Amino acid sequence: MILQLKNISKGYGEPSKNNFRKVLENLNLEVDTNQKIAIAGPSGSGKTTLLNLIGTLDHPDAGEIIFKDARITGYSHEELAHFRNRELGFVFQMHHLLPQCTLWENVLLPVLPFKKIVGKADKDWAEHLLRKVGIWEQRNQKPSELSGGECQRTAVVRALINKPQLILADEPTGALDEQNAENLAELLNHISSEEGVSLIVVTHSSELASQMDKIYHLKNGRLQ
Amino acid sequence: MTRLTLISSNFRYYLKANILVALGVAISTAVLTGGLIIGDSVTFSLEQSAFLRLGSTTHVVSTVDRFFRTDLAKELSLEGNLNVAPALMFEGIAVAEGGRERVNKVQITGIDNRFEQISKSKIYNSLSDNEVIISLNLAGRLHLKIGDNFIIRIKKGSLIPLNAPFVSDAETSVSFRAVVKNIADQQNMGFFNLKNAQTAPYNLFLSLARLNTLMKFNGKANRLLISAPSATDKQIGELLDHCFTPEDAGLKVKTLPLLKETEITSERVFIEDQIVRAFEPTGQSQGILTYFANSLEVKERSTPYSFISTIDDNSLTDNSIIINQWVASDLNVKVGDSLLIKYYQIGPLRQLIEKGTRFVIQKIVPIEGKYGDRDLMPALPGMSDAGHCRDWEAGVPIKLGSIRTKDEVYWKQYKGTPKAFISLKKAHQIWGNRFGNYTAIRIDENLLTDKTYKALFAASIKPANLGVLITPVRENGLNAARNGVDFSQLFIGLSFFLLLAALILTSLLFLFNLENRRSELGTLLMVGFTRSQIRALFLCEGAVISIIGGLFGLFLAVIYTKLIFLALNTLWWEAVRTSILLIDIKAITLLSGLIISVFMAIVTILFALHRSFKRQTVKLQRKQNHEERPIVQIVRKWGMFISLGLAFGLVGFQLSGSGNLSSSLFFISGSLMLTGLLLLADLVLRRNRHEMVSNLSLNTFNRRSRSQNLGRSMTIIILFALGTFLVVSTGANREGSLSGSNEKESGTGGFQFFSETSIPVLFSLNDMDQRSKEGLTTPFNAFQFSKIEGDDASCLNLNRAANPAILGADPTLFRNRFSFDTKCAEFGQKEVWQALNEPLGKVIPAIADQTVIQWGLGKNIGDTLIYRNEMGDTLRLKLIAGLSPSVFQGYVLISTDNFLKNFATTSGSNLFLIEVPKGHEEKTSEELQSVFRDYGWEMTSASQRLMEFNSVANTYLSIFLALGALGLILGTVGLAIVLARTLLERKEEIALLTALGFTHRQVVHLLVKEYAVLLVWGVLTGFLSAVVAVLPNFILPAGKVPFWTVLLIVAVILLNGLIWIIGLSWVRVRQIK
Repeated sequence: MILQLKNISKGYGEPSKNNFRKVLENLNLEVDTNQKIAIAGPSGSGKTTLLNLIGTLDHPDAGEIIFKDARITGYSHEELAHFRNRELGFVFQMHHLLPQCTLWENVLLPVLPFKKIVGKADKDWAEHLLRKVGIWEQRNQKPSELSGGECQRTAVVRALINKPQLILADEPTGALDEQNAENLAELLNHISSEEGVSLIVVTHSSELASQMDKIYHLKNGRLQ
Repeated sequence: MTRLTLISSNFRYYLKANILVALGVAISTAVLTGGLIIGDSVTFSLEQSAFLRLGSTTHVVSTVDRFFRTDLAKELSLEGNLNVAPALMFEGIAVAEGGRERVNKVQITGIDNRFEQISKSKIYNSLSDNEVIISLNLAGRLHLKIGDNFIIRIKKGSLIPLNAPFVSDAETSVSFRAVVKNIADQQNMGFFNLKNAQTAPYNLFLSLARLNTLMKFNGKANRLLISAPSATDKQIGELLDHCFTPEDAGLKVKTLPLLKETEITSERVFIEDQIVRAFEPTGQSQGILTYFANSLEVKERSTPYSFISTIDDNSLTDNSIIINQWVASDLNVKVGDSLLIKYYQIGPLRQLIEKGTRFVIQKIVPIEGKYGDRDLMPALPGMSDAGHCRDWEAGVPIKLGSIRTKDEVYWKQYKGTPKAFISLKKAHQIWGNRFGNYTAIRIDENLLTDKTYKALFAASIKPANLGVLITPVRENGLNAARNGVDFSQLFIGLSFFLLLAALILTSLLFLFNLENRRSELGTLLMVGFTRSQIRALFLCEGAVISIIGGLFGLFLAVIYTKLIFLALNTLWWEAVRTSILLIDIKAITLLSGLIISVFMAIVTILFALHRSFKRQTVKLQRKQNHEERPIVQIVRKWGMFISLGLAFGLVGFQLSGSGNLSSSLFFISGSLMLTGLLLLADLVLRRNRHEMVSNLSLNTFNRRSRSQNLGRSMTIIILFALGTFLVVSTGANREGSLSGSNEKESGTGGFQFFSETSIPVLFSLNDMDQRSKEGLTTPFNAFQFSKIEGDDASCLNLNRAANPAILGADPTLFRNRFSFDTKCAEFGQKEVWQALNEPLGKVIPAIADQTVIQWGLGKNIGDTLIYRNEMGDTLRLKLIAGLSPSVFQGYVLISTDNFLKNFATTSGSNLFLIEVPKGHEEKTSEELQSVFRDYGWEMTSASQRLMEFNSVANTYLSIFLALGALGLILGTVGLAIVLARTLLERKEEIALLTALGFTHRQVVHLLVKEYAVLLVWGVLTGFLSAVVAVLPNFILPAGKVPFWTVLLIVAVILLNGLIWIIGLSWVRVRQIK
């Protein structure tokens, strides 16, 4: 098992006041190595909140997150940043590529937090991935010069650059047209299998969800 | 729904953002309008100051070393129905508390009841003998109150010019104990001053009659204060011409019954040629010159101390002489024998040069008739009234041992009856002097009645010919105030960077406002508005904001002015040096300020609109590769190469040349370097944007981020480069230390002391005999200057000076001393000092401090200053060179020769530069101050005097620095806004970096590095360019750069910027979860 969420609760607002809204309540989840799961649910059900908690971008109000037997909920900011960098890869609905950087630079960006300079192995790996997703030729172009699909594929490569154990994808096809969405879904599925990475996808798309090993529905703060 | 309601609702909806833009406009309006109000107020204050120092005086009749009758005032008054008050003015020294308190250069004015009309004050009525009225500043300095008494020492006035031959200098001052009757404040003529000066003199008023008595005068005055607001100079001139009598010219007339002649003599002993010529129409006037000879010698025999006169005798040739029988017998000579006459010629500062001229005895005559005329001896005080030869006070050294009993007997019997006679032509040759070539005029008594005497005088002699001048002091004062230092320009100039920063801020705020409303632009386009319509809508909104901001800015302008005035009255007092600083707010000034500011704001907003629309277009075309046109790139690139090339070329040329380093060329080099470096920054940022990077690193990532928003990055660089350039170049120009002030080329000329006296010193301080007589034992070298009083043209006076004080200097003494900023091209490599003696036709070459020429006089090198000389002729001084800041600030220098030609009767020296061997400074200073105490000797270290002038320039620079610093603070606010805005826009990027595993610290570090590099880049660009701009200050030996000030300024700019960058980055990153 790579990830385990135990009795996770999360709410927004002040618990003592009327505006408090509970989003997740005693939620439990287990993800095995190489497992691909989809989390579906209506808007506002807390899917992104859940993904943020797994991605350590937010803290649960209660419960524990265990990653490869380590309790990450007790990590410091520094440790969490290191954890995100080494173990996780993110793909968002919007690609969030940096406009000032070329595709190549965007892809290599996650290498930088803990290495001053990008090594040969990183570059070879990046080249391998870019060739794999078919955008090697566009590596010196900037995001503004690429299509939405190309940008999103770049985002996938960026998520994989540090060889993470888990990829978190938040509506990765949400901003793409049908054809591009289909292609990206296939890419994610294929690449996670090929690289041996676990995948958690939050999506509305039943097509994408259907390609996962398991589908959860988030309802009333719990996964069903 | 109309466009107006749309604008109105927009304005209300975006109220907060609009208020910020309006604040930017308000700041620029406040700075601009405040500058204008300051200018108006300074002019108004100077005008008020002119009224306070002159009372109701509109015109002044004045003389140089001459006196006229006090009755002239009454006659003028009656003739012209004017208010005229006579005054007798001298300089003096006031001493109180048993000598412990002493004030030199006190302006002493003898007045009578008529002064009440001029002063419009009741306190001047009926001053009795020892009663005086003193100004508040003098009372303060001497701690005097009404009823106190103290000692006054006054320069002794003399009807005879003190430098004239045979005038005793035994008594140069008189003193008396005065009682304070009243103390005059500024409303009661406490600031009384006829000169265009800003600082009020120490004033002392006493009764005119008493002052006349002290001077041993009878009813004399040297000033007429006229209150005639509607009279022109010409009208007053005509009145004066009409009332001016021979007596006012110092002429006396008496009849010589034995010779049946009328004799005209002068109180001044020597009579000017023009007066003699005035009586030529009688047909029989005869000019006479009688001189005092040291000896008449034949071989070993000698007759000491004799008067020799001229005589009208056709038999006399140039080298023949008539002697009387007494001399013939004394020297045992006969007709045809050779006789040597020894006599003194008197040079400047009473330098005596003994000369000898040999004559052949033409005739020996008895002491009778015209040869026995004792009236030929001029009335020389100290001689004419002496009972014995040993009692003579001749103004020349008398060897009492050489006077024999028979000489005493001659004196007793014949007084000063000339012992010999020569021709008038020969007498003029050997005894002619600048005071006049005659001692008497003789006319047949039948040819000169009282009526013809006055008529002939009036027909030929005008008061102006004798240096009696009419000055429209009120008009001059008001002109000087109105044309003085333009504080409007000055303050707008000084706050230039503040103004620029405010405009940039306005532009940024408006631009960001527009960016926030990007979707609104799209909606308007979508519903059918054209681009120009949308632009017009936003411009109208901008105009409304500008007007509101401008109106608020007017209110801020008044506060800004009050704050600046508060500083000018305290911290920056050196810049104005006046106690009268009144705020004058004119509606037209406010309106002008508002219109200009709103116009500037609208242009700025228009520029922001243009940029915003351009960006929108670019965004629409983002998929295309929107490269700049190649021509623009080429122009930018070559612009950089040319700017930097020219900058380095000019610096190299200056440094390799042997000539003087030109500060203007260096400043141009600095400005070119600034332009070049900014273009280089732009080029580098653009290159970074398109750079292909194979090795990604944090540095390359930083570079990419910096170049992403080129406009904002360049805004930061330009803002800080410009601010640093201005502030550092200003700071480096501050005259901070005294280093180099003892160099001969420096502003002190290598002199240690600068001295002034209230009472002129009539002899040369380098004369060793005089030194031992005065008890001066320490070694020193003194350079003395004759002075004609004038306007204060130094930077201590804000009024526009027209006629600064003139100094007569011996140019040969100044070789290789002082430095020049500018000089007339026509003198080429010639020593500038030598050029003072160059004949320039009808003009006289003159030198002044470049700052005086430029700021005090508003002139350029080659321009001419117009004066009137002692004879009333127009004197044109051509400014041939401008000195680097020196101790001569405020004066115009001409050669001694030219000075004496034009101001012959000016007595002695009031100004001294003293050079002392190292180690003797203290003792010499003490000795000189002690010996010349009663002359009102005021001695300051030359470098200290220079510092005093520098302090004015430094104060201006301080104001510039302070306003520049305000601009930088505003610039930093601009930086903060840019930063806050950019960080807001980069919120997602920051979140992504966090998601990718960057820690908060790393993200902050990345952001800080990104912006700090821009900040340092800007500051460094400005700093390097500023160093080049003021390079002479760094490399010249006399250059003075306050390194610590400059470093401190740079450090503060950097620190301030860094604090904002770190603070905002940290806050923004902390906000991202």
